[in-house]
Amino acid sequence: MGQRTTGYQLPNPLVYELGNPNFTVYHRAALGGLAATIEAWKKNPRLKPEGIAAEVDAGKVEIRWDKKLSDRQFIRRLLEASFRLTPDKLIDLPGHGIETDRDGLRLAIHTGLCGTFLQHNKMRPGEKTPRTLKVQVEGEEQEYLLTYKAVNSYAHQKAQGTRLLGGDDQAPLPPVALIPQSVVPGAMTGASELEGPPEEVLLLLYLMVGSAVFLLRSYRHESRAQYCLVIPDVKNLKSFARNLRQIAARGANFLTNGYPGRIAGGTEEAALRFLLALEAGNLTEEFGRSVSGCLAVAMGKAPWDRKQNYRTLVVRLGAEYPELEVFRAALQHFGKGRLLTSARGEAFPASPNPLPELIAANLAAERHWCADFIQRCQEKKDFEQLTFQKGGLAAMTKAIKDEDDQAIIAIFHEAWRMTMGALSERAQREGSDFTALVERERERTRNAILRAKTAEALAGWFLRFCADATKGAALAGMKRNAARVREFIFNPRNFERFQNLLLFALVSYMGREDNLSEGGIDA
Amino acid sequence: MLTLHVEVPYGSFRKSYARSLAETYPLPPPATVYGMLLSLVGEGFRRRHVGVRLALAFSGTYGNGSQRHSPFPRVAQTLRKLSRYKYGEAPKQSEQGNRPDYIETLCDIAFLCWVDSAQETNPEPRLEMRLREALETPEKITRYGVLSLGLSDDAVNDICLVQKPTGDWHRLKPSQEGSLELPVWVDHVGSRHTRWQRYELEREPVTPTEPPLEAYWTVIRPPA
Repeated sequence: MGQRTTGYQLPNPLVYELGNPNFTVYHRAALGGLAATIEAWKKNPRLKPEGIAAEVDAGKVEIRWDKKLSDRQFIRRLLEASFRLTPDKLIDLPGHGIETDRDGLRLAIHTGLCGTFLQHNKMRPGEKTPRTLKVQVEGEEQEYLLTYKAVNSYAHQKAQGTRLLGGDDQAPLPPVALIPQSVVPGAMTGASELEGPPEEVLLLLYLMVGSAVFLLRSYRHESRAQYCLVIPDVKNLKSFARNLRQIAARGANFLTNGYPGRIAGGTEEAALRFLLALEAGNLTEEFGRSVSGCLAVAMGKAPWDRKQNYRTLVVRLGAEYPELEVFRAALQHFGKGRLLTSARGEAFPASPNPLPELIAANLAAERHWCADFIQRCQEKKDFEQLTFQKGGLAAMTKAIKDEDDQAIIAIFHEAWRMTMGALSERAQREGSDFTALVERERERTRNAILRAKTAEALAGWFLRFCADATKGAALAGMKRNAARVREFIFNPRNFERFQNLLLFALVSYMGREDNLSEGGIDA
Repeated sequence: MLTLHVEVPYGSFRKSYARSLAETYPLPPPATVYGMLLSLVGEGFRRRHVGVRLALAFSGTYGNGSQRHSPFPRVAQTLRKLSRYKYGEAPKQSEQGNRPDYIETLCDIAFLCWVDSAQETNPEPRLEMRLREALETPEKITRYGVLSLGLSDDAVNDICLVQKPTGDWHRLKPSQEGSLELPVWVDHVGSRHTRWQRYELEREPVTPTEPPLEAYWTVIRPPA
């Protein structure tokens, strides 16, 4: 790495190693983005910059260029091949591997990037009047009309604000380059700008490619976050590049695809969605897991300044959580982002189902997966909505690994099934409406669980509920797990968990109620 | 070699690229711990004890003795007034003053710090000797201010010499594949000269009866 008195010269070949101790998570994600871009050139050789050759392996990227090219000419060609625009003036990052017929996903990413990396108008000069684009959501017949701001160019195309490119391509590079907000969101100038060696700043330009952007629509009214950047901690460049391409190529069954796939409830949900999508790409992969976790950054309006999007929350997530399967089940059943259409015919993202957001936030904070479920049951309206989502809730129940949780839910379901049986008999005997009886009983049970204020009171109610259901006999599940259940329900530390689990069990019961309502008894 | 026990109720260790939202490193970085040790002995020159080696292990229990759920200290996010000059748009500081921003804070930090001066490059007295003197005969030391770990808000509650550590401790191990990057030398002006090292915090706590093995040491050295 030679340093001249007149300036700085990039080493040729330029080698970036994932194991460089001076690389932060931002560098590693950016290196993943650079690797994905280089791999995209191999898939589509007409994109490859002239005079530049690059190789990617699991831990290293090596770039060589024609010695006739000056450093600035090399950087210009590299960036031209990496940061492009579509004819519709949407941002096109070859590293993402989004095909031309997948404008929905491209538009969601364009919107996200314009609100985060490129939020300042000067970073993406474009047309004043918004354009519209018709987006077809896979699995739906209706087309949605979405508006966006078309851009003529953007900061990354010319390394704006970094000092890497200037008027004269023959001039040497400065020994120090700058890191503006468009390169690392949140890197505000301050009294002195953030600086780095030119090759590191060049690498950081690819952070935009290596990270995933989501549009946030949280059910929590206090949340002002609008976007989420998921910055993966890349540990295998080759497999990361392949996974990134696979995500873009997948159909509607994969939940990060299409415009709705980039709508998430919360920061943690967005991050876990992306990690699961990467992991799905690994099922046929010989390289193993490509990331070890990620940093999720929420960006939105801060109460003290409405003009720009600030970083409002930063969450670190690992790739492994004990109850990740519960989240996966919730995501599969409730995770599909929704688009609504306004009276003027324009579509906009709507808040998705809150359950994936709740569970993801719990897992990320290392809380019990069901913590705060009570919040979704306190309002009768919310609770009734949950009772219509039994299929997904039942799938979540099946995914639970914790034995205490399994035992409590199974016992409650067993007791509830017997209660249903008794109600059915009563309905037949009295000629009353079975459904109305069940709803009344469910509401009574919800209130009883919500009103319990201590572990002892809740345990007492639970035992009474089980005894009433069996007319005094012991439930099979209770017999099998007597010691475990006793220890769990009488421990005051488990009170909130127990309460949340009972409410979850109440809404997730999948019996043969339809048959029962027609006179059958499921007992 | 000596072993120190350090307790800090709360501390924020701003990441090098974090200007808006003062995101913290998940553990006190070795560079910050070294800075605190220099402050303790009243040393004003950062390079005075380069070459010193530090090894860290973080407590597996809370202050009240209960077991921690995670080896990492809990992170709290609060709102504080911060200088626009330093972290925002500098020209606006004189007109508009400070502005609020979110700041992350680590809570209930307790760690063991082993200090080994054998490889220090400057002449004596070595940091190890000066630390011993500062803790055993503080009246001989010339220093000012409350001892803090990083920011002056983040005062050290307790620092003492330990002969034989007891209890559960999670050791911080330098590792090329580690998931944590912590600065070992900080450039406070533009971040260009900041140097990081990657680490792994061991999930299984141990009671360290022996001095740390070679693999656990971090050498404090400025960039070449």
